[in-house]
Formats: sequence, structure tokens, C-alpha cells
Amino acid sequence: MDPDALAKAFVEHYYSTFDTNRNNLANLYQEGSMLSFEGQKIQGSHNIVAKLTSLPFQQCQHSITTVDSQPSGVNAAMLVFVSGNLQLAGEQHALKFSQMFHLIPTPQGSYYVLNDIFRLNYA
Amino acid sequence: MDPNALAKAFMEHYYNTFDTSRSGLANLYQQSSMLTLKGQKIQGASNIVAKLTSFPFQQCHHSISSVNCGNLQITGKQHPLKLSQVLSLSVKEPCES
Repeated sequence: MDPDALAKAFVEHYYSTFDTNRNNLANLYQEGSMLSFEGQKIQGSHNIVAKLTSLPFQQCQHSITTVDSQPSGVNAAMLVFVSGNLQLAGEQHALKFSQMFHLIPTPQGSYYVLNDIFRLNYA
Repeated sequence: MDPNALAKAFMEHYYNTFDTSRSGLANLYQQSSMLTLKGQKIQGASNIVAKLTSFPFQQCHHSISSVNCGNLQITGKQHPLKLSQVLSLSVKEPCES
């Protein structure tokens, strides 16, 4: 599969899963994974999903504006950089965000997130 | 050095170099480097710097408020543009001297 198409498919899967059932994101992280969420560093799949499920909203909708991907050096790993809007239920205005994923191939032929950096863009 | 302090120092160096002399950025890329600029992929240090120096403005100033979020003020323009950028930093082999 073309890397750009693969990155786009991953991004659609990630945000669709986030918006419908955040617990299922656990499958996309491993114990070595790290999320920086608004500057807070969180290590490991269990802690990452605990953080994402503890956010102060129940429902949200991500709409993606741009997806850029590049090979990241070895073994078909990829950098994926996303920008978009996050609409929270009950809020009138969407928030702008950007997020970077470092995707590593798994022996099973899939990908997992090793590094994940998320920021709202309000400055 | 703490990774956050290193990243911050690199960022200040990168954008200060961009804002004062874009050609100096050539030292920060190698032939295997890739820049994606608004969806266009550019490979290699000389091509990247050629692209960055070909922009239709001579002077600009970056102000960075957080990792992956900042403003780009172009001289002569009233309103700054918002920007996001990801830099993947690899260890550079020390030179023999």
C-alpha cells in the first residue's frame, strides 16, 4: 500500500475509534508508547487510554483538514502529522488541533503508535 | 541534556536561523532529509534550502507558543499566519577533526 494511503487509512481509523469508543484505542498503543497531551507526557498503552477516557467530555467529533506523512528512517516506520477541528458536544465552536504520530510496523503486518504528540492550536 | 530543553534550544536555533539567514539551515538537513511543505514533498538538504529560500517574502519572524503551534509574521503584512511544524531530529555523527 502507498504510504500516503496507509497514513490516511490509519488516521481515519484512529479518529473514528476515538469518536465512537476511546477504550478501543488501547489496541493501537504498546507499553513503550508515549503520548504528549498538551505537554503532559504519558507512558504506556494503559495510561494513555486512561488519560483519553478521562477527558472532560463524553462525545466529540474530529474532522480532519490535512494529513501529511513521511517515511521515518527504518523498517517502514512513518511520521504522520494531522491538523483538524475538534467539535465537542454542546459547544458551539470547534477547537483547532494538530497531532503527530510516529507509527511502527508490527510483526503481524499492522502498525502501532510509538510516539503521539497532541496540541490544541489556540495561541 | 533533558530532551525538552534540547528540543527548545533546537527550535530557537532553527527559527532564528530561518528568520535571519535561511541558507544557514542547510547545516541542519542531510541528503536523506525530507520536508513536506503544505503537502509538497522535497528531498535532500540542497532542495529543501532551495525551496525555503525561494519563498515570495524576504523577511519574516516566527514566534512559537508551544510544540507544534506558532505564528509567522511576514514583513509588510498586517496579520500573522498560524503555523504547525513537526521536526524529527536524528543524532548527527560527530565529525573527525
